Amino acid sequence: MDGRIFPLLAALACAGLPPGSAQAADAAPSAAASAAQPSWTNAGHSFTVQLIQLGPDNVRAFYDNMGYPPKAIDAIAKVCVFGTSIHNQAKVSITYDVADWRAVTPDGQQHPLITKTQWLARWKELGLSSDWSILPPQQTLQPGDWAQGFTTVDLPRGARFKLVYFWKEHGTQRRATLAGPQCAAGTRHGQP
Amino acid sequence: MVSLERRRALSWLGGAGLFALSAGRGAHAADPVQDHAMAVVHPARPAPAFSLQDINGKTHTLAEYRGKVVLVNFWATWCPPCRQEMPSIEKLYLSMKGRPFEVLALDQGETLNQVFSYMGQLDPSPTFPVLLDAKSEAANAFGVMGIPTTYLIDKQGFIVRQAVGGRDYTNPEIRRIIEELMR
Repeated sequence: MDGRIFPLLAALACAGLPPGSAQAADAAPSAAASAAQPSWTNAGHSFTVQLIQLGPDNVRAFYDNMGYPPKAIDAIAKVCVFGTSIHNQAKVSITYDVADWRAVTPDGQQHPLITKTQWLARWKELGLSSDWSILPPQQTLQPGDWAQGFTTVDLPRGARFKLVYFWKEHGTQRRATLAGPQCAAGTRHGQP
Repeated sequence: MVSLERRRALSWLGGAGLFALSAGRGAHAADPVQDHAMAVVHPARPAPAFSLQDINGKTHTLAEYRGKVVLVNFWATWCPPCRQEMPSIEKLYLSMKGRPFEVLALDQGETLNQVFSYMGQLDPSPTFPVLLDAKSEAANAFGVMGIPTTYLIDKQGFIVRQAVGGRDYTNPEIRRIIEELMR
């Protein structure tokens, strides 16, 4: 078996996602994906982003297991959270800054993402000084480098948006759009 | 108490989010990211000193490995790509037995119990030192932004290569780089 297939299948089994549920560039989520966690992928760029929708129950479970303070969990479970994977597909190094990225809702409003730096500032008074779960806020990625982490944005449950993201390649700022992401609905228990 | 059920829930969340991302990558990525080697760090910079205990209570300093090539891996048990690459690091480590090469895996922010229980789940289980960087002080000193991040440190104590994101450390190119550094 191809060494890359096994982790794929294991991950799919673990996630309950059917193979091929990841979305093509700028596409809407498939019915198959919507049975589990919808995901949106932006292929075809030198810097690619993939988002996977996470519900508040998922987020609470994750941070509860990580031992985060309840108030910190409450805060992040209130906003839209996406499992996020980024990948430098270019042949040169790239840099990005999540503070530049925007979630653009259908009404044209631009919503900045809540960066890891901002979460740490919010969580500091709760005794949290370090976190490895949120996507690194800025980074230089060499060719082939990639990273994972959560991205967050303060939008209503179920809100749809397009993610407009930027990176620098050879000193030139580039931009791409990932269309279709949708915030998860509320919890099974009706909590925000 | 972090019960087995809770650990399973954690694993599931990994599946829901970060782990599934690994799946998505495999589903759409034409580029086999795991096959990439480690980027050159230019200019090479001195590796920050650290002194940390391993999961058996033994203290390790980076300085004691001067004269060897050291692969320093920053990871955590809940991090899917960290888990995915760990067996390949063990294979690399075993293949280098008796050579001037060492692996130090620095767990980020977890307890001894969390790390220890996870070790038994790995096949092969790591035989290299797994250190507890509980406050991420070493990670911060190295400038680690996310996990996994891995560095190669030359025999003089300089960071000469790095990899952000998971890799397959049985990659021949990575082995060639290490062989060259050991000369």
